[in-house]
Amino acid sequence: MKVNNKKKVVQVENVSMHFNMSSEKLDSLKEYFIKLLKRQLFFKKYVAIDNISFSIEQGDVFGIVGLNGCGKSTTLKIISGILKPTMGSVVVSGSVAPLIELGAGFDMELTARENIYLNGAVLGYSKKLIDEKFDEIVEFSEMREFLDVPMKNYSSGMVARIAFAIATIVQPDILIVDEILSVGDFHFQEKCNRRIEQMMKNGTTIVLVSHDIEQIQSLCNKVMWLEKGKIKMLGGVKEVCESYKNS
Amino acid sequence: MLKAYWRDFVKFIPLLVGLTSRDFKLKYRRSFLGILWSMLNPLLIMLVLTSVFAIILRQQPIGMPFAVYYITGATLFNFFNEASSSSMSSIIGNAPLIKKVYIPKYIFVLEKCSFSFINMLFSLIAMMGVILFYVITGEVKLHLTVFLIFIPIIFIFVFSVGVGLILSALSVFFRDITHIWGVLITLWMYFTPLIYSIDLLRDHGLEWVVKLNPLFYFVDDFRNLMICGIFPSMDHFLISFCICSATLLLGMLIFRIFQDRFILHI
Repeated sequence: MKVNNKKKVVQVENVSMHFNMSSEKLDSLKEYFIKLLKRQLFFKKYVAIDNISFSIEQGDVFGIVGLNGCGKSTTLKIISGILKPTMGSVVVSGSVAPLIELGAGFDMELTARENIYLNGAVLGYSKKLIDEKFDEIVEFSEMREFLDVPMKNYSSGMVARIAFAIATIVQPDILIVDEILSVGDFHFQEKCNRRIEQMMKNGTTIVLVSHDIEQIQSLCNKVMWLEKGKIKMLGGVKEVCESYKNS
Repeated sequence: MLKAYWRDFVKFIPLLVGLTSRDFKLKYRRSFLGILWSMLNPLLIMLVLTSVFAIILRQQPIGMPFAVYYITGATLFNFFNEASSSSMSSIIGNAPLIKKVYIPKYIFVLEKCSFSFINMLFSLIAMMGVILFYVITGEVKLHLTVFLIFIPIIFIFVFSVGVGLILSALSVFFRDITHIWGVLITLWMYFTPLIYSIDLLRDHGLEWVVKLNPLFYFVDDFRNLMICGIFPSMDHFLISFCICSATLLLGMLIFRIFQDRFILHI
């Protein structure tokens, strides 16, 4: 067993996330008042995450496995601050780079060059930093000849290349990866994997969601298995993956 | 606590600039006259209204050419109209981004207001053109108070941000607001002395109606500084100041209460 003297970079305590699963979405004021008067204004509560606690230490490669709808992506969104949990507390120390969906901040009407700056700003980078790293981004994505083409004319793989290149240009303290490595051709996938491994070497903590159990086994040192919003198992990669595969 | 907010804000200033310049690029992409439209539009509308009012309605004495009277008020009002309407849908419109990255959400409201503000600066150039025309013909005199017009402009900007925050937060939960706002703003326009003078209402004893309208104070002070060389009275200034601060605070409060639930409704 390792000695627990490392810094905890992510601490999740008793976190629950509830969604309103109203069968019809009340978007209008009229409906709202009618329902209010009829006293039909109750929502079916859907518990996406049910009172989970865990912590991630610096340098960990933390894998999350589980079936569809078990709360994996919700957990990632809570860690990256996109969702506020209904209950419980999340403490994250350090910068977080979420690779939750590549190219979320892209405006397809703009050219790739313009989007690199805009998306960089979305991720909180300064213009000066992007100026410095611009060539590196373009080199990595191998998209130089299409730089001034509006991105609506790009293929999804091309969009992903640019997006990955921007998102990983700065070494974050915590990198959150949600099954994005399935995009792009195998050559680019390898390139992405190499970059992530490089970051691991430099001490970045990685939180990884994947259905590819081989990938989890080869990359992670700690795995959490979620089932219906609860932690089914949490521990070393070997034991968890074995029982997950056998379930 | 406040320090953390400030650091968050500073970190996302480049985003504010980036989003504003995106809006700017997209608005004028593929139009020949491009940015000139920001100046041409208010001019053309002013021409239409001036000719209509010169012919159809007998003009009330307003102490200055109608064109000048109209364009000074309309420049400010159009800014408010554009800023509030675009802020209102800014949260809904940026749903894909909000769902995937953490960004302080008020940035989107601020961005729409800044974009409208830049548009207003161009309209101000058009306005200056009209005023200079009348200065040359001798119907209008310029005063040194012109340099103080930034005061009502700052007021109306802050007021618009406040209204924008309220509207954007509420419209996430009740989309009806986006439909009714167009009607309300038209109503609001007629309660603002843009095409009539407040003296006209005074004659009918309806002056108090307009005085309930926050925009009246901004528009009136703006016109007085711009054309008449009159400083805003102290109570006008205080009223404006109170209205702005109250609206902004209320907006921030409402926005803060609702912002964590936006993501579940967009």
